[in-house]
Order: sequence, then structure tokens, then C-alpha cells
Amino acid sequence: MSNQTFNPEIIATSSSSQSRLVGGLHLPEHKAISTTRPVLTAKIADELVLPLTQHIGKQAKPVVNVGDQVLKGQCIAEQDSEISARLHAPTSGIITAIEPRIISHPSGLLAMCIVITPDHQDQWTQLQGLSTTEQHNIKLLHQKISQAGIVGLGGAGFPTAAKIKATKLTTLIINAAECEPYITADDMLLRTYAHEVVSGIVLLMRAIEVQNCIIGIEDNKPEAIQALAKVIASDTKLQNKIKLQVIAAIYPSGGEKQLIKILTGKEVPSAKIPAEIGMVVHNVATAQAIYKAVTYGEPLISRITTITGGALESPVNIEVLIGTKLKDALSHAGFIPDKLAKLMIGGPMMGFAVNSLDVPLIKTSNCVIAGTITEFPPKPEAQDCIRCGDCADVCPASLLPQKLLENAIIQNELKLDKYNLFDCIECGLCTYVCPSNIPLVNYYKRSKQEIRKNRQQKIKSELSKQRFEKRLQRLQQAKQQRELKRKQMVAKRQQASAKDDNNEIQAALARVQAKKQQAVAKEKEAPSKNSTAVQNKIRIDLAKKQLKTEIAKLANVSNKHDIATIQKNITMLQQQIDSLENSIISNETLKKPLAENN
Amino acid sequence: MWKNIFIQDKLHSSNKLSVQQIMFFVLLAAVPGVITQFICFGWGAFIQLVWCMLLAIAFEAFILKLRNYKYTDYLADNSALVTGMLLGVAIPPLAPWWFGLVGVGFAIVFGKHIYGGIGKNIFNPAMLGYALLLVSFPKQAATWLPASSTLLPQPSLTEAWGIFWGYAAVTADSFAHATPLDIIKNNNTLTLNELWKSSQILDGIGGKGWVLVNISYAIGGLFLLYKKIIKWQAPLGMLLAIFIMAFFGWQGNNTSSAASPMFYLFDGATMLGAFFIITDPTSGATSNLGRLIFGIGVGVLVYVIRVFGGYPDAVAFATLLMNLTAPLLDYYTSPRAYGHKKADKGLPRTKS
Ligand code: SF4
Ligand code: SF4
Repeated sequence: MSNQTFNPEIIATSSSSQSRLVGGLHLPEHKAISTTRPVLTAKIADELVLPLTQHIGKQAKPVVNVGDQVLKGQCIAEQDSEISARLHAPTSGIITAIEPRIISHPSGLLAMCIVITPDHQDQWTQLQGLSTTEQHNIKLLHQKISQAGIVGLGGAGFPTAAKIKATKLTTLIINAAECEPYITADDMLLRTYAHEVVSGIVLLMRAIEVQNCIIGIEDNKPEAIQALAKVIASDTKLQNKIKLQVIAAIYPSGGEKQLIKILTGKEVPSAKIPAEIGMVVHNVATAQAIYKAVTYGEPLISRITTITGGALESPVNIEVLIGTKLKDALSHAGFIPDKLAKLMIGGPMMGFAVNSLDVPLIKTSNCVIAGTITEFPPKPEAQDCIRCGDCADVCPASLLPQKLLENAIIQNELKLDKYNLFDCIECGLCTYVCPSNIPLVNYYKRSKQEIRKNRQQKIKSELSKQRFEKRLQRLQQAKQQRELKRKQMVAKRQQASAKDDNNEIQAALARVQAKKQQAVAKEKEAPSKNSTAVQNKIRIDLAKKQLKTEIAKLANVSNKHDIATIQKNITMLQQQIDSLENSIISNETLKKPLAENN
Repeated sequence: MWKNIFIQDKLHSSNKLSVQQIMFFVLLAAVPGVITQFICFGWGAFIQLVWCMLLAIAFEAFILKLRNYKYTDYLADNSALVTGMLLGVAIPPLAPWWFGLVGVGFAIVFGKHIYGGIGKNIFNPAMLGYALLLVSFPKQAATWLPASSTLLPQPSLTEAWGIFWGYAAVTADSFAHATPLDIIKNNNTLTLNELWKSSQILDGIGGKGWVLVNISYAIGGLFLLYKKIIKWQAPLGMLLAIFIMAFFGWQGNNTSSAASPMFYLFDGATMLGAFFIITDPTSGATSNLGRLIFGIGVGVLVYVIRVFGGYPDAVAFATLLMNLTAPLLDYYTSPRAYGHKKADKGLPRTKS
């Protein structure tokens, strides 16, 4: 590191609780190309496209209409559930469409977007920050963060308002590792806005009520480390609360669970979230967004994105409005379309390729790579696994990727579970090192999806099975009740006849007549039910007749095969009759009580 | 089906060696050992090597064709060449042509493709082929030459060529001589000192030529380690096990004593086995601890068979026996996954 270290105590390069990452690999960085120029403020594009889903969770609900005039920072879509996030107009202009557009997603599919044509006035709506005293009110803090539509800016995009609801936390971990090659957005953010980030961290600590914070940063960002150290050193209060810990640059040290392990030596239990061990991880850019939201009331409408790759003349980090299309973003870095071989959003390990320059940048887009063919040469065809074990050596989750592969191919869910498929963090290192060029991580992603789908279906079918059984039970009960009532009626009638009273008999007859008439009237009222009942009866008769003929046939044939088919037919018919009878019974149970009560 | 869908959606960066390159480096690393073997054993060794490698390619291509594979792709992975090379250096220099044919054919067809081809075989194909030869043709398999021309004249190229095709006036037997391992094995009357004095083959540690060959293979092995193509666990385990076993079995001047640890480390196929044979990823254990145990197992078995068993050298049998245990080793040495209290060992629990 450089010689102007501010306070050696602030920067911890190793500590007793720190531990090494298991597996992992030092990857070629490709970072220096995009840090030569300061952060550039991007021009306002001619059209901004804002997908309604820029976060994990439920899609936001538009609260504007086509043709509406909106101001910069005005809410244009409301969050629609606990886990969702608001959207705001990144600049002033007119809503020109609310329609499906291509979005930033590996599938390349269309999704609902709000399209804004900016008026280039960039006129703010009324903003309201919190005063210094209000900033100590936890409830207000939460409210502000929620209103600003902040999501995790490291790439995952989990709504921050939902994440800070966790309680009983002890440590806030700030992720400034930025371990993936090419990406330098957090690095440049820290160099430029270290003060805002630290202020945001303090607010965040207050919001989640923790006293300790560890900032984890890789040692390949000396300028950012110095900038942070300077801010922290300026205030003894900060020094007591916030620890800046420099870690070795090994991919994927910035993975949430990996970072926790490196910084604290603790592991998040499998299938649990960090809150389970009293920790929570937020990204540096998220901290800055929180600072802006709380002090100025500014919603999340822009972010710093790395625009890099060999197909650009001068890669750079830009502060860009959410919704800016790739082509507009790339134009700030001297885009050379002829050289472009692969257009990627996110880093080369965990990012994904897109094939349109109209894809808009969203809240979570931390990097765009316009790669040349030499940077991303086409990979040769995958070959068979030779069990070399390289993948297991680099796996940061200590899994056995080759075993997972075997079982992913044959979709053996039991074994995939045994080999802890769901502990895979999809870092892609196994694919990176595989000498047989097997796209391992893609198999895992696919398998996870399949298994999740299967489990949901299982739950669904379990539920419908339960419903079906309950229905059967209900029918049975109804049948028994009717039986009981009929017996009672018979008994009553017998009693009545025993009395042998003419008058009473006539009266009873009259009652029966009246009942019949009422029933007829009722049936006229509900002709549809009646007709289906009649139809069902006809069907039953038909089925019974068929059944008889089938049984008759059975007596005449001797061929084994024929007998089997006839028997099948018979069981089918019987089932049909049963179900039809059941439905009639259920219909009648609906009617009967009414008729009998009269 | 999936495979094809995902080829489009690969990871976007990679810089590691491919299988093809790995196999190429293995071949390259064997060059010093192979050359030393040529020098020590003459033209016969050269003929065997070329013959076996050619056969390996031919068999591989034939089987791939039968299996309807795009054989140009798979041939290019060089793995058949490695199998051929290993057999070529294992086969006695003056063996007849059909000897290599049977060995290589069995190795490629039954050792590899019967199981489904590269990556799927349980046994090391080359060792399987060699074991077949050892068991079926013990006489030919034992016809070795002395490792230097000072004792007996070595066959010339034409003689070697003639013996190879079986038309030469001389026979292989006229050049043959027991190997150091044979001599030790068959000795039970002399003390080690006397034995060493009595035999010119056993100069130095155990025959200069053999020791040189072993050292050359070890150098190639170190190159592979440096290139990170093989891992250190299996070779270290094997060599350490042989050393320790031999250390305790070595009783100075006893007539029934086994030879010194150095003798067992630098004779026979020890170094070839340690760096080129048991490091085969496919038929070995895949976890690091598993590899270590695998290596130790091979080492122990090599010593036991050499000293107490019926064969002078034992790398092939020891490797095959340990190949059988590899899946078991993998089951019981699987690492503890992140966030789990302990490693999930053994077979999956079936839902009852
Ligand atoms: S993608 Fe999954 S299995 Fe592969 S190295 Fe990363 S965590 Fe391990
Ligand atoms: S790295 Fe590739 S070839 Fe090696 S064990 Fe893993 S999946 Fe198999």
C-alpha cells in the first residue's frame, strides 16, 4: 500500500478471527483499464426504460399512466408487497409507454416496463430528507429507506427495506470486496464518495441497531482503502465502531457467505441466512444510496456502473440514470461496434450475456462488458469429465462439483441433495477450471430450478389430494345422515299408520302433495342443476347397460387378452357410475335439507 | 439434450489447461524417462513404444467409430496416446509384436471403452492391459534385458526388428537377463552383501540403468507437479509407504532380508508408477485426502507383492487393487461443505 497510511490501526490486514477462504482462485483482474478516468456523469438519454422488476420479489405496480408528466424523483410504481421496491422517475419527462420491453435478463425475454421520454429539464420533485434529530428515529429511517426504493446494489437486488427488518443482529458487514474481474464500480465509488458511504454505514448501523461494523475490502484497491481510512480516522467515534479489514484478492471473497467466513471466521449454517448468526451484509453502494435517501430524501434513480471491455476505446465508470439503454451508456466510453463479440452485464464469472443494445441498465447493473473475441474466445465443445478434481479444489463451498454433475445429468434429486447442491453459490469457478470445458454451473442452475419446481408441484398435489380426501369424507357423512333421516321418517310413518287416523293420514298426504309441488317449483327455479342431475341419471343408466353387456361378453370369450380388456372396461364403467352417483348425491344433499324442513 | 442448450450459455471466461493439453504435458514429461530407457535397453524399447502408441491410436479410432462418436474430436484429447505410452514402456523390449497388440487392445477396448470411454473407466486401462499380459504370458513378460550393454551385447536394430516380428535367427532369450527385482526375489541363500558382490547387475543401489530410468521419470514427475497437472498427494503417499515398509523390512545381512529402501524406491517401475500411473485422475480417488490414502495403499501393496508375493514387480496389481477402492475412498473422504457441521459422508440416506 502507499506510504501515506493515515492510521495503521484502522486498516487491519489480518486479525485473529480472520480465516482463509477455502478454495477460490486469483483471477486475472482486468480492472486497471476502467479506473484511469474519474467517474463520469452520463448524459440523459432520449428514452429511459424502467422495468417494473429490478429487484428480488414482487413486481412493482405502476401508479402513472401513459401521457403523464413526471418530475425527477417522483414515484412511478409502488411496491406491491413486503418484498418489493418502489420505482422513481430518473428524470423529468413524459410517460410514453407502459409495455413489455426487452430487459436485463439472461433469458432475453420481454417484461413490463415504464418508458419515459425525458424533457431534458431534469426538474426535481419536492424532496424531503430527515433532520439530524429525526435521523435517530429508527422508524423514520426504515420508512425513508423503503420510500427511496433501495435494493441491494451489489448485484442481488434484494429490497433493502425488507433486509433491515431482521432483528437481534450484532455485526454489520459491508461488502467492498468487489472480487469479480473487470468490475470497478465500488472501487471508484469509494475513491469519490467515501464520506457518503461512511455516513450511510452509520445510518444503516442505527437502522438495524448494531454497534459493530466490519468493512471487507480486497487489497487490490489501495486508493479506495486510503479514502475510507481517511474518513474513518477523522472521527474517533467512527474508529470505535467501524473496522476496515483488508483481505487478499481471491475470487469469490465477495460472496456473502465467503466474506463472513473470511472476516469473522464464522460460517452461515446451510440453508440459513446470515442473520441466523447475527450478521448482515450490505454493499457499499447500498450504503451510499441510504445516505442520499435519508439526508436528502433522494430516491434511488442513478448508480455508478463500470463500462469496460476491449471493444471500447476508453473504459470508464459512469454515474448513470437507471433505465439508460446499453447503447447510450456505451457511447460514453468510445464504443467500437465492429470489435464487439460478447456483450455482458455483470462480471465475467457471474454475469450474463445479452444480445441487444436496447437492454436498459437497472438498479443492480454494476458492470457492462463489451468484450472482444480475444477476451471471450468461443469455448470448445464440452467433453466427458475425467474426474481430475480441479473443480473440487477451487469450490469455495467445499462441494464436489464432479459428483454434482454426474447426478445433475441423471437428475438424481436424492443424491444432489446429499452432495449439497443448494449450498452452491453459483460462483462459476468449477466451470472456469474444468479441463473438459464442461459448463458445470449451468447444470446446477438448471437442476436447482427443476428441483424447486418439483417441490412446489409436490406441495400442490399434496394439497389437492387432501382436498379430495376431505370431499370424499364430506360425501360419506352426508350419505350417512340421509340414511339416518330416512330411517327416522320411516319410523315416524309407521307410528302414524299405527294410529290409524284417517284425518291425520289425509293431512299427511296433503303435506306430501304440498312438498312435491314445492320441489317442482324449486326445480324450475334451478333448471341447470336439475338438467345436469337428469343427464347424470341418464348417463348412469347408459353405463349400467354397458356394464351388463360387458359382463355378458365376459362369459363368452376365452382369450386372456380379451378378458383383460373387458375387465378393464368393467372397472372403468364402475368407476364412472360411482362418480356420477356421488355427484348426484352431493347435489341432492344440497336440495334435500330444504325440502325436508318444510 | 440439455448439454446442447447450455453450450451457448457457457461461463464467459476460462484460461485453464484443456484435457488435450494436460495429456500432452504428461507425454512431454515422460520424454526423459523414455530416452533413458532407450539408452539402457536399446532399440527394442524404441520399437515397443512406437508400436504401442500407434496401436493405441488405431484401437481408439476404431472403437470411437463403432460407438458413433466424432472420433476426430476425441482422438485429439491425447488420452489414448498416454495409455499407449505407458504400455510401451512397461512391455519388455524384446517382446513379440502380438504382445503389444494384445495388451493395448485389451487396455483400450476392455479397460476404457467397455466402461463408457474417457472418464468412466474404473481401472487404469494401461495397467489392466499390462496385468493381462503378466498373467497370461508370464514368460514373455519376464524376458527383460540387462540395463546396460557392458554385461551382455544388446541386440542391434535389425536383430531387434527381427525378434519383434519373429523371423530373426537369434531369440529374445539370448539377450535376456534377470532384473534386479527378480534377483532379490529369488535369493534366499546369500546375504545382501554377498548378493551384491555376486551379481554385476546389482551395481550401486540396484543396477545403474534401472536407477537412472527411475530418476528420469522422477524428473518428469516433478515437472508435472510444477505445472500443477498432477497433485502431490498420491505420489508422496506411495513413495513414503514404500520407503517406510522397506525400512522395516531391511535387516542388514540376513539371507532372507529384503533390500534397502533406496533399492525399492529406485528400481522397477516405482517412479513411473508414482508419477505417471497412480496419478491418473479417472481411476484414482478425487479428494485430496483420498489421493493420499490411495497412494499409501499402492505403496504398501507394491512392497508386499514385491517381497512376499509371486511377482517381481507389482505396480500394476497394486494400482488395480487400489482402483477398486477409489469410490469408497471418495465416499469417506468427502470434504465438509460450507455451513455444515460435519462432512456428509457415505451413501445418501434414503427416505424411509
Ligand atoms: S459454482 Fe458452485 S459448485 Fe462450482 S465452484 Fe462455485 S460454489 Fe462450487
Ligand atoms: S474439473 Fe471438470 S473434468 Fe475435472 S473433475 Fe471437475 S468436472 Fe470433471
